[in-house]
Amino acid sequence: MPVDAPRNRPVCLKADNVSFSYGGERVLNNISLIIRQEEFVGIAGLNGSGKTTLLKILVGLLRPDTGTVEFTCHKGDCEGMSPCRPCIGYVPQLAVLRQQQFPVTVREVVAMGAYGQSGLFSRPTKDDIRIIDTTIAEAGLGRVAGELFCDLSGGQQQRVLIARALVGNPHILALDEPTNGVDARSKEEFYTLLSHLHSTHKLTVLLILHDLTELSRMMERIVFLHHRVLYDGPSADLGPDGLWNLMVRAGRG
Amino acid sequence: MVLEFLMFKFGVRALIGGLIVAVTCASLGVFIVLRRLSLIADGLGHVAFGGIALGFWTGLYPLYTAVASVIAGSLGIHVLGRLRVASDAAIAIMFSAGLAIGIVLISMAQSAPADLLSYLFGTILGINDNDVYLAAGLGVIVLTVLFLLWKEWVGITLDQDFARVAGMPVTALEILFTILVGLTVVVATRLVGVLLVSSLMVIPAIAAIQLRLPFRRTVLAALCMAIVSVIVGLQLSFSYNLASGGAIVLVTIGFFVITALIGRLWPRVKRELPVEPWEHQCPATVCTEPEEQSDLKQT
Repeated sequence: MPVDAPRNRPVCLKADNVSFSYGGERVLNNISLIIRQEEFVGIAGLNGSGKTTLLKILVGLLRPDTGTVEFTCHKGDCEGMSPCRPCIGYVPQLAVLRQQQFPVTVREVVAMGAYGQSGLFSRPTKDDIRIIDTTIAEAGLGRVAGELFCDLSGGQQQRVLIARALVGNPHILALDEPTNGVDARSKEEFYTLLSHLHSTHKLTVLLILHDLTELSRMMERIVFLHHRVLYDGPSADLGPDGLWNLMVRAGRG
Repeated sequence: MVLEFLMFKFGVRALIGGLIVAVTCASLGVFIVLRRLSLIADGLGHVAFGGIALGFWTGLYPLYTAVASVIAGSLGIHVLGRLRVASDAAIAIMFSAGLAIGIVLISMAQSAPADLLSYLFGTILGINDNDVYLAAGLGVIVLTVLFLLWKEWVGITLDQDFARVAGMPVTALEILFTILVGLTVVVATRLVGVLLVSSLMVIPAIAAIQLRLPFRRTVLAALCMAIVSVIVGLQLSFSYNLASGGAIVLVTIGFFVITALIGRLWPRVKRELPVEPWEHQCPATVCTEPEEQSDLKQT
């Protein structure tokens, strides 16, 4: 698909006046967002500002109390279909999978990525297995494929989760604080990979990140959240200082 | 003599029934434990007790009414979940409701039926052909569904959010899973009794998890331990005139102690595992250009 100016790219995710509460507490207040194809969007904010909740609503894990979320696919066979969940690659917070000593190997985790598209009752096809094997090899996980997921270091586990999301050949990659608990070298590698996926393979990337410097360096657009949208625009206009000021402002309430 | 109980017809029936129960319980067990639903089997066991009492009161075959009650109970737990009752609280409510209904119905029947104790504590050596047929029928249903939807169960057990985003009908699967657990509870009731039903599902699974094997092999290990427990337990029960349910569960606990010791005495050293850099910085699923594919084949 020819892509010229960002403004003309087709819309793939549209949130309209989304609000959400846990119990009596309003976490998100009238959020409206338009994510266009091939955008690289960083979601920033203080702890408890509703970042994870917003991401979960955008990928369809939570239903908003009021407002709507529309997802339109622009890739492959399901072009224009809505909803088309398999086109979203979701990488949850690592802590979710770290809670227990799960008896599951790296290969078994990555294989999960092919589940959604194959439908109920089906077995993995030869193609699925080939894609799983190549993704494991390309992710550099070939030698640990038989090891237990819980025996890996944080950076390695993160790689496994990204490999799992990529097996499904997603259109949008949604990542929730992917660099938490990951060492500096793995972080660097991870950022390179993400930029590559975005620039060369035209993946739309939605990313929650704590690291302010990385946010302003990498992202093309930043959404700063504090129960509502405090800033939504190009990261170049904001810079690290602007981001820092937003943090301070949000912290004061 | 070893396995001399097989010389009697009741002994053969007990072994067949026991093996069906062992296989069904242990296959579900690993999923139950990993999803932190260990208490659900116990809760549904008590719901089954209410159903059994209903059978005595109405004069229907108790295991049929038990099947109906566990299905109702499984749906009940999910309805309570929908009403935002915490899952452990929902199980506690079903647990109490089942037991209370059972006790009230039995008190209405004036004299407690003689068979009642056998449902509470299990009498595998006293089961009849009917019990074996029912166990076999339900066992086949449970195992077939478990096998056909294997990847779905792995998906919702390992990472529910991911499964949901990938488009799996997670809520429907969860309800179906609870019903499977309920049916298995009924199958196991005759063998180990309502009070010990969950142990046979959960303990071999916990023991197998201590071994830190890949997923499939963990399920297989649980299966093997459950089968051995039933055979050894039956033998002990027959030789020393012990309650069969208790004997079987004690053997499973023996297995847990052994595997837990293995896990502690030979703990895995956390080591840095060999990982190569992300090749070409480009996973094959998104790199579909022909030249890169040919690169792949060479490596």
